[in-house]
Amino acid sequence: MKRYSKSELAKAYLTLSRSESPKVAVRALAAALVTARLTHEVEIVVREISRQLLKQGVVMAEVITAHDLSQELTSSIETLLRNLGGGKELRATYAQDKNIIGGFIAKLPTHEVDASVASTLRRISLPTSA
Amino acid sequence: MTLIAWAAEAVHESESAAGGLAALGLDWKALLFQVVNFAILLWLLKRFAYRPIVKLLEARRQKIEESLKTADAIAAEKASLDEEREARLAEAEQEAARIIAASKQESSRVLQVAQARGREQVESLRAEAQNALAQERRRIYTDLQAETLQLVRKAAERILRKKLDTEADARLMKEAIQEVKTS
Repeated sequence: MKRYSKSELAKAYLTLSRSESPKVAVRALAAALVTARLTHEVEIVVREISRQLLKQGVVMAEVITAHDLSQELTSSIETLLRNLGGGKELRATYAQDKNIIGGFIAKLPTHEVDASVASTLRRISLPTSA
Repeated sequence: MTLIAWAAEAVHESESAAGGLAALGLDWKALLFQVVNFAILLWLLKRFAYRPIVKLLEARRQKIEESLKTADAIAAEKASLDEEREARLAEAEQEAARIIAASKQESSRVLQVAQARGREQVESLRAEAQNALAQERRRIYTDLQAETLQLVRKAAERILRKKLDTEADARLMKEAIQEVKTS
């Protein structure tokens, strides 16, 4: 069987997702990754999908917070991410992680915004030179 | 005829012919006998006593002379040896003085070198000790700072986990959004 590159797999997923439901498209991608023995590189493939979407003007973002977000705050974050991503359309997913204590972390295809309290505490705990 | 018999005959004749010389109180035979006797004695003495004695004396004299010469030679040799000894002593003293002076100079130089090296080593050790002390101070400072910061972070984290509610978190997020926008 022919081995596909990560970029080819990402493009195939996007093509399939236009005609099929997301569930079907994700299953097909997972099967392809298992066949190509690329399951350990699933994150890279997902980033590649995000990059391909960004080329089409769609910004994919994953937002992690410690608490529930109000509508106002969600809107502010999405505006910020849209500006940072440079795309017209934003597809954001939200997740909660108490380990970040407070603030938020936004993962974009091109970069990451870490405005979490845990990250701030880590920074201040790094010793400066004597 | 033995000598004694001849002498007795002569005495007899002299007595019987007493007249002329006898009138003068001289017995020519006795005189002649005396002369001959003396000559014989003289010859005997010369032959058997005087010559060996002279020879012995001569040998003794030669021996003494040789001894004296040997003594003179020994004395001369001794004087020469004394002079040589004195000269060698003087030379040895000069050499000893020169060696002592050189030794003093060398010891002084060695002492100066040793002192200089000692000073250098002391300076080096002091610098090393200061360096080690500074490094240790820096390490302790860094460790202490790290420990302090860890303690502060843990304390702050504990407090924030308890006290940071949704409203406060929302304020924080708004501030963060503004910060990202302006940066």
